[in-house]
Amino acid sequence: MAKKKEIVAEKVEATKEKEVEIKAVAEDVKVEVVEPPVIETTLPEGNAVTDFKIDVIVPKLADEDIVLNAVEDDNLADFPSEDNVEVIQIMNLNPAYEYLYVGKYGGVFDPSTFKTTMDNKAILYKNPYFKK
Amino acid sequence: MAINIGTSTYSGEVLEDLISHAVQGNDTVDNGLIHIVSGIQYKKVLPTIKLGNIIQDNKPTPVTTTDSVGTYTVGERYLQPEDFMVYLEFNPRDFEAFWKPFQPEGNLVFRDLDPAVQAKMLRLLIERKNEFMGEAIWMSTKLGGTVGFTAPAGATALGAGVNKYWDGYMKRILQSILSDVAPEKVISAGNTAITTGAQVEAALIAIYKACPKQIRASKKLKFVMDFEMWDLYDTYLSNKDVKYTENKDVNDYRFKGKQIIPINGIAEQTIILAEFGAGADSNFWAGVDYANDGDIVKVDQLQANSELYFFQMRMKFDVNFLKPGEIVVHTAYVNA
Repeated sequence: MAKKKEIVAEKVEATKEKEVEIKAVAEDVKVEVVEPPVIETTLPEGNAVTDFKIDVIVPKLADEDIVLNAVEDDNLADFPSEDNVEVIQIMNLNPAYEYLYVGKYGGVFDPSTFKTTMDNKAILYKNPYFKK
Repeated sequence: MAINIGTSTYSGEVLEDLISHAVQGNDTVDNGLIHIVSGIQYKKVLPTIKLGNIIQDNKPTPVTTTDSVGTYTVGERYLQPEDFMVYLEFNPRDFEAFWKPFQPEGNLVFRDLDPAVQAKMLRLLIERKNEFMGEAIWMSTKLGGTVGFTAPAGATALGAGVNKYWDGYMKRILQSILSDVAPEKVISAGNTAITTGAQVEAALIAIYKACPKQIRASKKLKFVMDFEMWDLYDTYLSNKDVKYTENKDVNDYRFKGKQIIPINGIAEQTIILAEFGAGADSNFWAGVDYANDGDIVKVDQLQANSELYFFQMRMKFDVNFLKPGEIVVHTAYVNA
């Protein structure tokens, strides 16, 4: 699960090192093709290599990257600390949810939804105000 | 048959006008929230361009191609209007059994409808079409079907009924949230249910904070939500101990200085912050074939030997947005 959480960042990083092709999943996909830069590297012998080119094509996430997030993380979640007033207020506003992801800007996300649809810095909390 | 005559046993005077129920219009267009491009017979490409970092350390003489810093990235989005039509047959003689002012006139073989009745029927037809458009702009999924998206409890599903001719803004927003990669991705500021005014306020705060800073000052930046969301928020504000507005008045349609526009047709439990407008600088675009196809109704006899008449409209329509990374949304509609 931890690896999956870092998948988006890894995709971007990977493009700097090797060619990455991600098949588009929607018909109106916008494919960005960045003009391949020429990378100069120097071999130990001192010979410059100039024919190593990189195409950066990162239009969409692959299907396997769009993962459900819910149950597996529940046991990692905890109640928000008492001094985390903003999050506690948000929990209080959403008693219908036992667990909630709270994003960087206070956005709230249902844990049963796709991970990639949330704020990628969202933190999962157990809701102290949950009512069945 | 297209005309249903309601019977009445009352035989007194009758108002010489047909009273019609108010029909929900196309609020999205009426409020000037989208830019409409006409003249698209097949497809129009909406090109976008952006420039990455261009700053680098000083070099007295740049010599290699790697000394060039900055890449223009060109992208494309599309408007591909899809066909749909309005076609309604009716028999003017159905009105023979109705009140005198509305009865058709002329010889039986040339019998046609009273012009006032015909005008009223035409107006209703166009209003009903506008009502459809107002909802389909947001709620349609191409080919229909509600698979792939989950609506909040009790809310209208995407792609339900006749909302099936093009991909509406909601589907495009949800697809972008799911599959696109930032910065070309619609910003999701929450996806929980919104059923109270306090939740609306919390969503507005989260949306505003998540808004890209470079468009914060834009005069086109507006919140759009449905009337139910606005009513929850308005009531919530009025019920506060320290009131901004008395109950007898409506609260300002504003949040953090940005205009709030409640409209019919948009998905329930959904709030969108983006640059809306009727001009080309709007983020939300729509494409049509001929500019006024939506107002042109063909009225004619069905065929030479028939007493039936018909109304017909043919239209093409599609919607898209230009810059998904500049749209912030809280919606309880989610990808399934």
